[in-house]
Amino acid sequence: MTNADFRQLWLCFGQAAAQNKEELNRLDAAIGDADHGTNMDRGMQKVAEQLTSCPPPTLQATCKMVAMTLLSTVGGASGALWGSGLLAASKVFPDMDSCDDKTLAAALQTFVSSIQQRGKAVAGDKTMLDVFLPATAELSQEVDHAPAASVIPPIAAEAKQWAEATAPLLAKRGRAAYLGARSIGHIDPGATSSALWWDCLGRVMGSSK
Amino acid sequence: MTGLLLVSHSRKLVDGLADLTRELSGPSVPIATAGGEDTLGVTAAMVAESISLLLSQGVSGILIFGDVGSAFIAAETAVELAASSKPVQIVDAPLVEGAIAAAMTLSTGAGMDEARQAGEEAYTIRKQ
Repeated sequence: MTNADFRQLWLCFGQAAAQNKEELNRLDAAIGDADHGTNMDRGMQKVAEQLTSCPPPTLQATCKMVAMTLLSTVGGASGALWGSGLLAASKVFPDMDSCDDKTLAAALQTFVSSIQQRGKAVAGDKTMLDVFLPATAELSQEVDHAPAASVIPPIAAEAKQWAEATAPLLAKRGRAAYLGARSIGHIDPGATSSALWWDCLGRVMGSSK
Repeated sequence: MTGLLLVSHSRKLVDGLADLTRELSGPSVPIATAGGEDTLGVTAAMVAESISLLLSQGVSGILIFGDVGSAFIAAETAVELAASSKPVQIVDAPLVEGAIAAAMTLSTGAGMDEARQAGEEAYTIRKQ
């Protein structure tokens, strides 16, 4: 992945966050406080501004800038989880213009491990990890046999289904956990925004072939 | 002296709690707050800034008390960001009772560990 691809990924996610702001708020209204779309959109618009006005020169610098921006602009668990995950991932990305597929997979794996550690959630807890865990597991497995540019788009295509599969789950973490059984039947907003991110990663990697 | 950092989604909540805690413990215990700056909510950056503020006041350590859910995720991230050489610990305690118990304990000259324990034990004090 090149720094330009990575930048494009975040610009794409910024657009997706803006376009899906109301939908994410609506999902969050059912099991949280109705601000997930507003929060992610605010953070991502700030990220897009920075990427446009003073684009960081390397993968590591871009990842770190996105992390710090989200940590200071996005409240709630989402900001801290995306931010601390990206901060951990930035240490895996090289301070160079591009990285190989294995490094990309390792950075994503570090992102997910950091979020697991910080949020103390596991698969099936109805969180963003219900998208990120299966996606990174598939990526780590397949990146040994094929280029990321052909492996990632089909994984990204599954992300929306993984997000939708959170509907029947009982929330175990975050505000939705206070609702207990009443959280069942609603798709998790954090898993939904995570699926939007994977969709962007799929597009960017697919077009970099 | 160990300082207390009160973290909440709501500014009014922690400002009020800081007033109450100071009233009960006296002015000797440094207390800072974080969260709810423009709207309801708390970011890791807000908590990190308050950690820096307390450190700049010369505290020997910081005990963090939070309200709900993501305040703790933000606080953990902030502790990592701050990378302080002084101990900064997040206390698993009820916010109001825990902060008051810890502040009162500190005001008697007790150290960080004792104050932390007093905060944690506040869970067991029944109200009725």
